[in-house]
Amino acid sequence: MNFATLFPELKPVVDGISESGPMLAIKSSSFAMPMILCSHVLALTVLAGSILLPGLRLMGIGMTSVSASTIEKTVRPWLIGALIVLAISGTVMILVNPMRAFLTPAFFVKVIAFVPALILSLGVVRSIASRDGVITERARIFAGIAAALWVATIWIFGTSYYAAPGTFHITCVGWLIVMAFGSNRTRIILGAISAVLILGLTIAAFSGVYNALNEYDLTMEIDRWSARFIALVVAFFLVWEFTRQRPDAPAPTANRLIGILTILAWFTVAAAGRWIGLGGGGA
Amino acid sequence: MFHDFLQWLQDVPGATDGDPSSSWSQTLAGSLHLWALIEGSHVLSLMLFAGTIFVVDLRMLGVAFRDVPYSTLNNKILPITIGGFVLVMLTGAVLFFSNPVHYYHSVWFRAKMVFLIIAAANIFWFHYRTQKNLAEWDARPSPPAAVKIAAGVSLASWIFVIIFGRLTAFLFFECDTMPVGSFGYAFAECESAMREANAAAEEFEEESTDGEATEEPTEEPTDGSTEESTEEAPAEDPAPDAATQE
Repeated sequence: MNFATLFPELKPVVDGISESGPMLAIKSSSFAMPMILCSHVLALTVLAGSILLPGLRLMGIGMTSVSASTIEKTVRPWLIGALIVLAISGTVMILVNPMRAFLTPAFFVKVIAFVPALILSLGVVRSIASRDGVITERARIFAGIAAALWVATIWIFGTSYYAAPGTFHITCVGWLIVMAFGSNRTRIILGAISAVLILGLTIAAFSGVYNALNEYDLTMEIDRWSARFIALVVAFFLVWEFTRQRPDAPAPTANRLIGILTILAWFTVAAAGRWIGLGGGGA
Repeated sequence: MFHDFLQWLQDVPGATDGDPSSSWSQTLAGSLHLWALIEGSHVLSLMLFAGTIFVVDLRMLGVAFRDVPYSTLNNKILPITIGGFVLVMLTGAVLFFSNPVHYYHSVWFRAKMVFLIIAAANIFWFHYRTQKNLAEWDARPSPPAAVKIAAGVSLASWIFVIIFGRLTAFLFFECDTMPVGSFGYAFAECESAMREANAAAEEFEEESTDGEATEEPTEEPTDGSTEESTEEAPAEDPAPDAATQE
């Protein structure tokens, strides 16, 4: 799915944008675009810090001796500042090459991934943190809406031909969350399953039985079904680990899930954005 | 010496029938999705690493979390930073392997390495010298000047590492476009890169001339043929689609 299939009538407008005066000036400059791209990456790192700290705090991890409200208030200006820089630099990047944004499914994914991420960070997390962990009914409803939107985003991301491999990044982030913050037993089980999968796929590939990285001349196509299977394994462990009622749980289950979802939602935005340039374009 | 080793690394391991284009390095560089997955992982790991180290640096500067003791923040954040750094280094090493000769002779990549070394030296200096009297300033909202300087150096170094890392993907200030004798030419050790490229071009030109000589009775050579041959001579493989990547 992309903007070209949803709004084909916009094509002439998109064609005209890249030929406008300011865009031609940026394109003709050797340093304008590189500088814009650098500011975009730097803003991404600031964004990461400002979503990780409150996200982890809601999960009961990280700076637990500092109140959630203090952490959220401290990082809020960074979050907003990073979003402003990302919005400006991102807009210029789109306007310089609007046809790519129009055609690439990854751009469509990025735009819709923003919705749950913004709902979570600027609405739900802010609400919970300002009450130091207490979830209101409204925050719960918005968290549910954001969760549903994020699942829909992942579905579109994973079924878009040119963007689908990018979902592997989200699987990796989920895997890292379980391995870094899960209980020892879960870590051992997931670690063992991962080792068996990697070893099995490697042996299968070298023995010529089955190659998850099928070779077509000099290219490699990631086998979608292997990637989906691994994603499901990680999703299972993520849910199993962080929804279990444990007496020693460092934070309520809902808070932990919202913390994880916020981190995953923003990494989905970043992964989709990265894939705009990496995965090519098409229907 | 390094150039020769990297050229071997790029062309030989995994190559079938002596064909460099089938080596592991070049197969990875030409892959449809694998290279992109590793590159994407590199950027996402960078977010994890830099996003957390900036928080610690800002505390050391006395800008953020002034009421939180430095050690509390550092103990909680540092494991994430280290995890991110390990991922950045691993993915970065694989990306380097995909096009080692190009990166080795890239001005931007070398500038990135310089700032990486400065950042590493700063970490060691801070750890073994500045942090010795941690108990004295741990809870102070505004740490002493030496700590602030270390934080400033760290912040600036990582920003430059990110900027130069991003610029590495662009194909300006390449060896074949920089004037011979310029600082960039010397800094990127372009001499060794161009020696090989020129030798390959000459060899190609000679072959073309021989071919033309034998075919002369039947085929008229055109002026453009030499130019085209020179252009097509194998020099350096550019980073895959680097200039167009976002």
